[in-house]
Amino acid sequence: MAAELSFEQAPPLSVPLRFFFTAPLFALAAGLLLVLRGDAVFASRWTPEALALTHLLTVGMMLQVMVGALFQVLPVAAGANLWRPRVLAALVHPALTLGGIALAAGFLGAGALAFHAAIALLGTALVAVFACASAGLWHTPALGPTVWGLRAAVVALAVAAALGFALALARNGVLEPAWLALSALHQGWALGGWAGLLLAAVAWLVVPMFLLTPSYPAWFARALSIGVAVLMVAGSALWLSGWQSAEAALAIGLALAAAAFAAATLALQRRRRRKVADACLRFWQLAMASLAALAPLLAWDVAAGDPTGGALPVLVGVLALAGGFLSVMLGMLYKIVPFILWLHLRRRISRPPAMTRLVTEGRQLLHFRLHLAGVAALLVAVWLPLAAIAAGVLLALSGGLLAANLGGALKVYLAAGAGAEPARQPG
Amino acid sequence: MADTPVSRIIDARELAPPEPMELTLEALDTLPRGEELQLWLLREPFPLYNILKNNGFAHRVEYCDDGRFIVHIRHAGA
Repeated sequence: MAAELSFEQAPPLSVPLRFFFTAPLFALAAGLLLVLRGDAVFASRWTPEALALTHLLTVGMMLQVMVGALFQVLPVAAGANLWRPRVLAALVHPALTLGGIALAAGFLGAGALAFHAAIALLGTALVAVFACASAGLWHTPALGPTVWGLRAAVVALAVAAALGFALALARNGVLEPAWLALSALHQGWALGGWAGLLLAAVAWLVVPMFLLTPSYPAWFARALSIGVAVLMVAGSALWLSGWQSAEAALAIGLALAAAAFAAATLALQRRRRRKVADACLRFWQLAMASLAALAPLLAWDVAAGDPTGGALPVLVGVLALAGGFLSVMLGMLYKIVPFILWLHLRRRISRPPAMTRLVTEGRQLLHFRLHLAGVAALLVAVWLPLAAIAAGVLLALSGGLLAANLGGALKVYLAAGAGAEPARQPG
Repeated sequence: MADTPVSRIIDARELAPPEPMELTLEALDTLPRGEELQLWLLREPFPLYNILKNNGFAHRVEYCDDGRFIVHIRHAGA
């Protein structure tokens, strides 16, 4: 019977996969930029190369993964699809991809047109995602911290994007240069609000589910999400009203939240019911160790001033982006992609291959070690610019390996599906 | 539904996806009409609900104080 089961509610396979297969290309591009211009990337976080690299990773790679995952997580977490997933993905995916390229090109000196194109394309993509995700998220009967966390994260994405557009217009000369001061808020809303709240909301669901840990305490999940949301709104209002210490207060608040989240997650993982240390767990542990390490550095940076002449914020950025968010995303991709391929195979054949055959544990562990070496090289490159070349090579290899591993899973899926098809034909 | 005999219980609390769904779908293959399958989980299996609804099964979810979600599944109209 299983092969005849109907699974209409899951989004079509091509919807999330197109985002997941595009993301590694941006990692490759970011790696290439590091190899070619690594000295400029690490000179300061404000160099055009540093901004281009940051946005290749955040808007190029991570936003692709996060939007792709939203299509998949929403039905699981909330029992609600994004509205018209096929149409939405057909609009959002090219706009997000071309917008990410245009934005990086804009930073690297391609001129005002590139920034205008980035604003138009990313604006289209994000307005569509915001509208459709909101429709699904506000109409779901599902309760619990994941749904509320997703709602808050989507609102934070809209604020982060609006601030980003203002910054792009200021770099373009359309707005006064004074608007560039908004970059502190843009970083806060993008990393703390959108990425941080999304990471937490997904963690409440997937850490117990995939890593077989006890659940996060309900009060903790609620307090952390509400605390970050209140912090972002109140901190921004105080910043806009001109309070001198608002930026420091926001940063310290986010550092505390990151540390609390990392500590709680590591504590849960120590109490997991199945004592297997698979690649997914290692990716999560690296991410949580990075978040725990960046918290005191961020607090130190804003409270005491940066004694390292610009290195500290770069270090915090490396820990947050490469060590934290990227690690979690890689770990989760290796769970999500085989799972949805398995789910779709289950529609067509009654005995699909085991999920572990789609991307083997050995290949995932290889990627973990490569990624770990890449993060280490990035950390060294903060002080030793020559290491940026090694970091770039490792980042590009990481993108390549991700594409190869996901491609391998798709190949197993196609082979299993093709092999089973004739058996189901009548006659 | 309260009086429906329980033909099988799947305790999937210690299993990682997709094992709970795999076991449930296999068990539904042989679920006799008028009998109930119970799935024990530590979360609500939203994707499963749609599959059940689309394939002629009725379900009811019970939340227990120990954190368990018990999904009671039977053939619709049985």
